[in-house]
Amino acid sequence: MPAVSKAASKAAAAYTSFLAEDPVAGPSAAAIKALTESIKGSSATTIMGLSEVLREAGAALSSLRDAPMSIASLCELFVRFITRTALEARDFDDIRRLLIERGEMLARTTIEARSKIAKIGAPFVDAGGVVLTLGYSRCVVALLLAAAKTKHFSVIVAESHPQGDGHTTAQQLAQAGVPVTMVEDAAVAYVMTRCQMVLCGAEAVLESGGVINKTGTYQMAIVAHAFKKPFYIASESTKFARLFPLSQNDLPEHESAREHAAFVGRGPPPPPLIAEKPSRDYTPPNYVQLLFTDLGVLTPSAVSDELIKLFD
Amino acid sequence: MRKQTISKKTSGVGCEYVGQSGTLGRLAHCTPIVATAMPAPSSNPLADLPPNVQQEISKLLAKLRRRQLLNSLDVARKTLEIMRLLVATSAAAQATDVNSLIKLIKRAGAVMVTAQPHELVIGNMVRRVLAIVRDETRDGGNKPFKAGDAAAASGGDAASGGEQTVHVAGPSLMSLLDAPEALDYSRQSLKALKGPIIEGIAEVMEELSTVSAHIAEQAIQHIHANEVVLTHGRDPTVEAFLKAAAKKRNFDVIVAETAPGGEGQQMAVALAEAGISTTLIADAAVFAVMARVNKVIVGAHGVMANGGLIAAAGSHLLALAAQHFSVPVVACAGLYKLTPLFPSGPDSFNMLLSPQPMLRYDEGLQGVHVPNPAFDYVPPELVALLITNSGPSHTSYIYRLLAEYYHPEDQDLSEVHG
Repeated sequence: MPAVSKAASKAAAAYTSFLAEDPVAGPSAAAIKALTESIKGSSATTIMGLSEVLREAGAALSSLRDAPMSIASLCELFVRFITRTALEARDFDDIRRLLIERGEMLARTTIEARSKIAKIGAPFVDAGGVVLTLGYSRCVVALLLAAAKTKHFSVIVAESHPQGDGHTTAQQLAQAGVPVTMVEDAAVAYVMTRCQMVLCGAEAVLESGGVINKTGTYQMAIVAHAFKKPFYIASESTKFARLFPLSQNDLPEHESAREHAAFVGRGPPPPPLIAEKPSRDYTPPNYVQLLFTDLGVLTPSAVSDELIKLFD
Repeated sequence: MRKQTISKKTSGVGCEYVGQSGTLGRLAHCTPIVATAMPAPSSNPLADLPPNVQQEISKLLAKLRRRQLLNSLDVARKTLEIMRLLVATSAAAQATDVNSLIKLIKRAGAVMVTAQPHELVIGNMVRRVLAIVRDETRDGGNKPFKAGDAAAASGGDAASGGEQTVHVAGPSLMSLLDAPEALDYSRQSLKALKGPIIEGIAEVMEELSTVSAHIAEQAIQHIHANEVVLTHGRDPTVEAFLKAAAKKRNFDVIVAETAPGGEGQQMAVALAEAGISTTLIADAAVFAVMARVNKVIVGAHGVMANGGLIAAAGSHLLALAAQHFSVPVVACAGLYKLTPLFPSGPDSFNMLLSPQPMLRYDEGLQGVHVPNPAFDYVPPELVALLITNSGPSHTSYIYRLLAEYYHPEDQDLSEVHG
């Protein structure tokens, strides 16, 4: 079906350009914009047709290398909206117009969601406390900056190899005057006793209530659990995804394109050596105390509830 | 030399702190809590409220300060009475639309909560009333308030009761694409809604009067024949719960004496008088007896949003001992104790009681600090089950109850929207 793949590839191209245009908005907003775009460009004349267009665009997006894992639930959100409004709307064009309008609204509110998360999460940071984090999450940075407005505390950031994006977090916090300490990923257990809480972002929040995030999150959660420190997640609800992995092997395949940190300056690994560089891991829900989302402060079981409501 | 005082003497003192108000007033330190941090109060924060409401609030606060009002059920009832008065006389404060009523209620609530931050039920009741106001406004005063009804009706049979009322306010993943709910409270006239709101408050009051009975109804589902139950302190809900179970079942109760107040001793006496086989132990013996205990049943001063408990001092120790022997901890608390706030910081929501029962003033010891905290925070992972008047629920599902009874915009009483 050449026509289908053309529309789908258009959605994928739209996603890539939206992401490049507005990196601050993040992948979720770009995906929502791309889905909205695919509705705009579609020639569908029935509700079934429209749902089909959305699902195909979603499939095309999820095949992209750095697409968010929540694409399927975002698609479902749109499809659900179509079936719900179908009863009330006057005609098909009405539904289409409304859908585009709301899609654009959602893309905008995804960005606003961060300030909401920052507001509800900031009280959890104690004055004089130490917060441990890793990777780079816009939600986490927003939350910490919001907390820094009313109290003094310090942050320890793990470098987060292979990408090393802990450096971005550290830089942004330091610029805002928050005391930041950088540690290597291997030093997480070493600094844990000093910490009051651990706060991480998420690439996806799963139906189990667990999260997929930058490699190293799982071990940080296990260390936090061993030291009985609360482990919190800050994430937008547009990242909720209907996945239920039972182990690390069940994650969608994803390897970082970067050079393996262990072989930087040493050339490629010799033949019998296998260099694995997983870019993300799965943290099971029993390690997560609470999730700060734009839907409120949720327990892991509340996340399952939300996703079940969406898909049942 | 310290004189040896016999503990029987302290048992008489029990909860009656009335005579010790002076010492307590100075000692009760109220750590400011994050969620209700107030801006610096102007000269008189109550100035906007109708004069009779001002009077009632000052009366209640004075009573609480002197610790003449200790039962949280009474505090809840009193708070509701003030709220009812406020709604009824809101015209005196030039409140003609719903938005200004919400502002008034929040103002009154904020003042009371700031004065007594550890009396969690005050904030809870204020938020319940705000939820009623918002509900009635949304329904245009046509439909009766549902949540309270369901709690009263479902009572013993819980699981079904919770499901029937799927009035879940607050945002949801499903409604992300919906247009933002633009209910302009300032355009709603208060006149027609006053009646239904007051009716709603009356329903909550009705619910308060049946809380213990509804919780006690569930007792036989949780206490089985020949079980050994451990409890401490003297919580009226737990007492009613155990007595209700004793009507049908034969079981043993072990009561920890709960030093220094000795409320456990009173509990033991009350249970024995009701014909329950009761054993009184020292607090230090809790770990020793835990191995043969089947269930720990405690009351709570407040149930926090994450499912953690604010409960009588010593509860955390009790729960940890129970965890060591894998004994389930069951908490009995009415829905009015459900607090939509998260505990943050080590000593928020706590207060210090008089050191008198620990060390008598006339013993003359100098330079000794004698802190006597009233409460413990018990983290949710140590609590197996929470039994409320709407039925049993797991701590990780407290958020559902919260969504059912409170509106998310009312979490922070100092913040006024629109």
